[in-house]
Amino acid sequence: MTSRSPSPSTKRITTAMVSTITKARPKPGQARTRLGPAAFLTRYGVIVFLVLLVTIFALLMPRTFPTSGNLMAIVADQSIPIILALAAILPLAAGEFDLSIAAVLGFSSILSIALSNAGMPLPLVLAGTLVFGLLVGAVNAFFVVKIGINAFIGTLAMATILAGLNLLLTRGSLMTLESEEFARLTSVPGSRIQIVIAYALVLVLVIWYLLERTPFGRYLRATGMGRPAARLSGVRTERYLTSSFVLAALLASFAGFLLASRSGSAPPTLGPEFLLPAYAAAFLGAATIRPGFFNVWGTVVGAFLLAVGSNGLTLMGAQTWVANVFNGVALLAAVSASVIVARRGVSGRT
Amino acid sequence: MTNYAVTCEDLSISFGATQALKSVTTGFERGKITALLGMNGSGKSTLIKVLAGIYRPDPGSRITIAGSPIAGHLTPKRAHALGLRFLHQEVGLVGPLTISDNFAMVGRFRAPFALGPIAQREQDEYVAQVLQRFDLPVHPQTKVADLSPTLRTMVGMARAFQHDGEDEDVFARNVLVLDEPTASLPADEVHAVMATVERLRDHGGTVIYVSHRTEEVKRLADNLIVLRDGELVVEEAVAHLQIPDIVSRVVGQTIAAKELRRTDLSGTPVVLEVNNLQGTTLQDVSLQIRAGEILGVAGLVGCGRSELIRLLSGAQRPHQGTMQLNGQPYQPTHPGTAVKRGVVSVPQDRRVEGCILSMATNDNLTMGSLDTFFKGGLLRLKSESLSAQGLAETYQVKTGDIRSPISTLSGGNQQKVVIARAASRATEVLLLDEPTQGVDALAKQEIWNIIRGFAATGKAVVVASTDFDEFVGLCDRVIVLDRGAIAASAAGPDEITEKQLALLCAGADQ
Repeated sequence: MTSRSPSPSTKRITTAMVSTITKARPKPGQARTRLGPAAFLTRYGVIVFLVLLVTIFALLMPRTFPTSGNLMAIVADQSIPIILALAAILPLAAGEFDLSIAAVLGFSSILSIALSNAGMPLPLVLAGTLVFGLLVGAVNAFFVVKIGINAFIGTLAMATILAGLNLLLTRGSLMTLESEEFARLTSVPGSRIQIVIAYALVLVLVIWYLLERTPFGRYLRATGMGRPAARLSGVRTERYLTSSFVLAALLASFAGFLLASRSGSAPPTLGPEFLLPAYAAAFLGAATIRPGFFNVWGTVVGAFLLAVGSNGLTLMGAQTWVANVFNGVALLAAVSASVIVARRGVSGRT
Repeated sequence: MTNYAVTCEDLSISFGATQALKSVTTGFERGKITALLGMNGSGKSTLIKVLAGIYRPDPGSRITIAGSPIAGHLTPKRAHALGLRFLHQEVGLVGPLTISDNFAMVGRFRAPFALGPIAQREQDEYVAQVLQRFDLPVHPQTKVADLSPTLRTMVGMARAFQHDGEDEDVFARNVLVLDEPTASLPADEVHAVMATVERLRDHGGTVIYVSHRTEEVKRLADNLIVLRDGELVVEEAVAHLQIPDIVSRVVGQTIAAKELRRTDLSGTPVVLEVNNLQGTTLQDVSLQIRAGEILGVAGLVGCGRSELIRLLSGAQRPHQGTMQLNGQPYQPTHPGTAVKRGVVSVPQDRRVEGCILSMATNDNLTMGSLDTFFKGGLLRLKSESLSAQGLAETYQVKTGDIRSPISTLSGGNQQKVVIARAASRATEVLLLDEPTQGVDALAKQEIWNIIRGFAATGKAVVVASTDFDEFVGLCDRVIVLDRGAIAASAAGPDEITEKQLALLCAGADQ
């Protein structure tokens, strides 16, 4: 298209606009207004709850819970689920569900073990796994954005397909990783050092940066919060949707790669059990720090809240069902609380 | 004594400082068609919403329905129970369901006992009976989505007069409020709808008919009620009135002196040229907009006003036709490409298409131009927020904390945010769809000033509106669309008057 239009006038006006902008005086006293107790609880309720929980468990089990070993184990165990939760919040921020992330994680894990066992060098295993993730993301985006099917259904179908491919690749039995070099990617044998935490930390920072400090993140949120308005103001909402699915699948496949290294084996049914914790962390996260927005730090806090809860309960000798019930109740309570407070905020305004 | 189905006494309602209805006392006669007329913002939709139980009138207002005064508050449920039925433009039928099911949603499903299976045949027979009474040649098992818009409207009316329960004399009891029922219908089918309304009255039904089309009012209505600025100004029988009489009652004789800027624009260059543009409603529209010009687009609901704005702004692709911007071909495929060429729109529906309510005011102001603030790999939040602050000041947006959600601002200020965002990026053409809808009088003036100032810098403006006042106060030229085609145009202060525009829009000859 011959669309580069006459620029002199364009430029003049844009600079004029910018100069009026820069001339405008900033208003003093722009600093954050103090939060009232209700607003404080909305914003930090989940964190307060997490701190309370840690304190209670530490008091109840001073010898087993607050040990560096146990805390390190919690953090390390949560590293991969947190990466998956990051994968969940990207499409969520754009207003869509991606239910295939856990299946991508499962399949990627199996795929990377298969590739490694076939004698492929590690960088190629990683590349192959990520290419697979990219592909899944692109297919998801094609069906959701281009064809226009409901993301919930489209990604559910993708998850089902991947579950089938899992069986194909593993031939229905447990797959064990042979390469020790691969295993050393996430932990140092014979020591307590858990490298997997570093990967999660880096990705948390990257996704935080992407969501909070780039136009990409802002437009992604705009796509989720008001697609028609974003589109009409010139935002390429389809592109942001597409990138969110592709990035989500990439993150999930990387998480699968790390999982292969960390656990050293993969059952043919690997994947689905990771889905709900990821979404639980994402929604708990949206209830804190930036209430109403899916956000990275909130998601991290959410993941740890659930992890600490089930860890502490297990240490206290509770049966496994208790941890599940705890997680479900915590999710319901935290999200309801934030919805109720948010609603009150709205009606109080009018 | 006249038998009224509904009366209001001293009906007042205020929204904040503005009084939408000022002590209105009137009545709607039983068994008659009463036309309710008024310009935009006159309070007629407010009156209807009060009757529907959506708005709560001020204390001291009294409403009487079917002879009994309403104690306490009218709720949608009570209004329904008292026989008030509302037919909005969207008609309120569920498309994928059958006519029969749609009837049952308002009335009830016929079943042999509570929680029993639906007696489908009995249900259909009953619905067929009602449809027959209205002379509607449709089967109860037809899906509503398969009906023409005209038939859908008529089925909607028939549905309002089914008897739900023991009450057999449904015509004597129910009151049907029709809100511009013909607005989006083809002209040659309007008479069918009107015939149905007449049939309703002949059965003893009471109808409140809201319309902008004066010739329909003349033909149908027995009585006329006109509101202006929230006050009842006319309450009389229609029989002896002619169409121009009706128009002048609606518009009023007072046309306040306004700041009119009509410069001779024939010498200035054409910014945007449109040739034979065709969309879903629009047919063969050709026009030119010159630098510095404010072009108004008038017409009734469904005439293609908003579609014209969407086509120009790249939000919708034309079926046919070409556009040129400054002599260069202009074929926007996405609002983003239009924005790049300096053509930016302010959509009609502020709450959905204009701004993102849950996002902060500054986010809304800088939406779409964030790249400016992305330097060295970081979104410079401080300079972004400063710039937003600057925009807010330039465009007189009154905001407490610019970082709080835009939903905390008043409607007028939200609209100013949307206009600020668009105007600061529109280097060629600014497109506005109902720019002052639902904003108060002061914000309206401020928005007009922003638009005038924008045009004064030599850029072109297109304003689609249903508010004639807006054309008089703002526009150099007005085109009137009627069912997708340019039916008339007016230019200069002599031709752009509310009365003239009302006549043009009503489709009456001058």
